[in-house]
Amino acid sequence: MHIDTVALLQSLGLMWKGMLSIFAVILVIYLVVTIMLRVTANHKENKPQE
Amino acid sequence: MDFILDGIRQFTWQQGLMMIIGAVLIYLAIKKELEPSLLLPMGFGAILVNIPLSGAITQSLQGIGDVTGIVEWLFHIGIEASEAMPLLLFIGIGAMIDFGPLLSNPKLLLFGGAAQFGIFMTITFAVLLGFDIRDAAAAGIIGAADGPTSILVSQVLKSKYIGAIAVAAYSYMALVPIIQPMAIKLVTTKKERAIPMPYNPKSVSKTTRILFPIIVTVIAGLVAPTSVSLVGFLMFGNLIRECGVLRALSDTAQKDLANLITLLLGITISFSMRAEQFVQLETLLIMALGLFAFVFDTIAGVLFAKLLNLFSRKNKINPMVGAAGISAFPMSARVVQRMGLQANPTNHLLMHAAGANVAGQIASVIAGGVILQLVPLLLG
Repeated sequence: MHIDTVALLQSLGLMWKGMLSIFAVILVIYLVVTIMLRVTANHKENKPQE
Repeated sequence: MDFILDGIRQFTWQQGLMMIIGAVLIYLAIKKELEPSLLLPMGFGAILVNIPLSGAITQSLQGIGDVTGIVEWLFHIGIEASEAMPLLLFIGIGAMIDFGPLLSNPKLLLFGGAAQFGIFMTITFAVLLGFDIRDAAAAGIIGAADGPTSILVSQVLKSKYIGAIAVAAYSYMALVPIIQPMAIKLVTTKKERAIPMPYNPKSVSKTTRILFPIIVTVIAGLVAPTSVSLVGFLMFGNLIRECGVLRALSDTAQKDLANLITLLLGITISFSMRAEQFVQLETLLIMALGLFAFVFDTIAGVLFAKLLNLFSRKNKINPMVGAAGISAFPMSARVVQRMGLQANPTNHLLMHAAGANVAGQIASVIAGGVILQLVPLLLG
């Protein structure tokens, strides 16, 4: 069986770069959402009771 | 009177096989109710385009020239030229998604990311089987468990196997209740499946719900600009839903737009199910690779949850929630809920699994965008 080592290395490069990019985006979204949840929770707590 | 026999004379066994495949898809759609809204139009379309000299695809008529066929025209306009159909469908899907369970527990986003690993495993495996990086990436994206993303990515990458990829993506999505339990049981014990997870949701403000789709679009767009159309249309649909002032548009996107595009998408995709393009060994390999991607996405999600459990003494995660990080919504969440109850009748995992499941929807479109960003760089 012939294995195209260039393509194999490309696919492995795609794997780590792809997963890194996905997790980078996910982590930033996670951080922003966490901050938003905290901010909006504090905002609710500080709101005077009507 | 020879013209009466023209069609019959040109009939090939490959076209006959495609008609049988079309009939099987129609059978699965009607009798087994497997993704009927897609498989039925695709099945009927497969019959339409494989009738010899079919007027549904462009034919050259003697003395007249080319006469455009409607299915071919729809394919060129709706998919090949602009990927309009899968993208417009994303508006409807975005309008249907409630990100509430995810926003109340944003950690679940991580499972969506982890469950995309099968895509990249499959790409490597496809390369080992001899596919070039373009077709390997198109096959791997079946693991996104997201039909429109699979169609769009394979089309942008100009893969020869778009028909097989669409059939595989939608068939396996319908088979999630069969595929996922097998994959989950491979890598979990009954004790792990019985881990209870109490549900204590944080309240999510309307502002957060409105800002979320905008923030996701900007962040994903900055890292992978090619994902903007995919993520953007999905999040545009969600913004229409959450803004609260476009109820009529949200309803239209969820029902009329999604139904109309789905109706046309199936029959349009069937253009790539012509015998000369579909009947080849590689089609079977693509279908097998798609299954491989689904299984490895599930396993990767489960193993990631187990990895997180190594670092957590209390509040253990039921590893099955990781499996719900694929994009097949809501089937995957339901599978996890059912298996959780089988292992422990008091264990309700639905809301956690639903959160991971919608995270999978976001992560799958990001994965699609990342692949569209990276593969052209490799092709130089």
